[in-house]
Amino acid sequence: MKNIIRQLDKAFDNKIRLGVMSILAVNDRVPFNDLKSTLELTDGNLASHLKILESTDYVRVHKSFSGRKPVTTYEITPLGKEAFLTHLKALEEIIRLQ
Amino acid sequence: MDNNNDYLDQLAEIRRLMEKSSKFMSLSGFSGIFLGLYALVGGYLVWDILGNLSLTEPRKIMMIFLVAAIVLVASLATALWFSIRQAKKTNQQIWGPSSRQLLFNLILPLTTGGVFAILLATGGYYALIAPALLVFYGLALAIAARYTHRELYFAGLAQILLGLVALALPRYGLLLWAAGFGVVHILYGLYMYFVHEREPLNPGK
Repeated sequence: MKNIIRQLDKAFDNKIRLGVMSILAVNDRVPFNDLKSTLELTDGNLASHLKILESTDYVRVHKSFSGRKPVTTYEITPLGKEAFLTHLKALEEIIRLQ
Repeated sequence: MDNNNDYLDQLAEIRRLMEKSSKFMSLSGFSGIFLGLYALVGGYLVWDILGNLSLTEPRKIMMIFLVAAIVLVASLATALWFSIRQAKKTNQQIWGPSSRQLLFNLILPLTTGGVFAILLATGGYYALIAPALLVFYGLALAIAARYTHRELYFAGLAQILLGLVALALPRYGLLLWAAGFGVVHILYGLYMYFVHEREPLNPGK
C-alpha cells in the first residue's frame, strides 16, 4: 500500500494541474482559452500551474499567430502522458485495494 | 490526500474533465422527440400530397420540397434551442471545442447527403431519395457519436439499416423514411431523457 501511494505524482497533488493533464491526455493541442473555460479558472491561476507542468516537462507550449492575434496552445509530452497514466493506475490500484 | 474518498473524487474529476473537454454532452433528448414528431407530420403530408390525384407532377414536387424545407428548418431550430437550454443546465459552453468538433464532423456527411438527395430529385430518381437520406444521416450520426453521447451510434446504425432496407423495398421508401427520421428519433429521445436527463425521483438515493 505504501509503495503504491509513493507512485502518486507530486505534480498532480493539485486539482488544477490534474485537471489540465486530464484535458491534455484526450485532446491534441488545446488553446489556453479553452483550458481556462473548461476548468473555469482565471488567467493568472491557470498560467502559474501551466508553468509548473512546463518545468517538469509534462506539457509543451506552442505559440503561433492567427492573423495578428497570438494563440498559445498546450500539448502533453510523452513523459507527461506516461506520468499521468502511472498516476491514474496508482489511483485505481489504491481504490481497488480498499 | 490520504483519504480514500479523495482518491475517488480525483478519479471522478479526471473522468468528468476528459468527457467535458472532448465531448458535447448537451444534446437533449427533447430534440430527438420533437425532430421525430416533425418528421412524422412531414412524412404524412408528403404521403397525402403523393396520393392527391388533382395535383400535377411539378406541383407535387414543389409542395414536397416545401414540406422538406420546413421540417429541416424547424428541426435545426429546435435542436439548437434545446441544446442551448441543456448547455446552460449542465454548465457547458454552447460554442466550445467540443461542440465545434461535433459540428464539423456532422457537416460533411450531412451536406453531402443533402446535395446528393437534391441531385437525385432533379434527375428524377425519386425512389432513391429516402434510402439516400437515411444512409447518409445514419453515417453522420454514427460518426458524430464519438463526440457526444455514445448511444447516438446505435441510432445511426438503425438509420443506415432502414436505408438499406428502403433501397431493397422501394415501394416502402416513405414509410421506412418515417420509421427512421420519425420513430428512431423519438425512441432515441425518450431513451436519452429517461436515462440521462430526468431528475431522479428520490434524490436521497
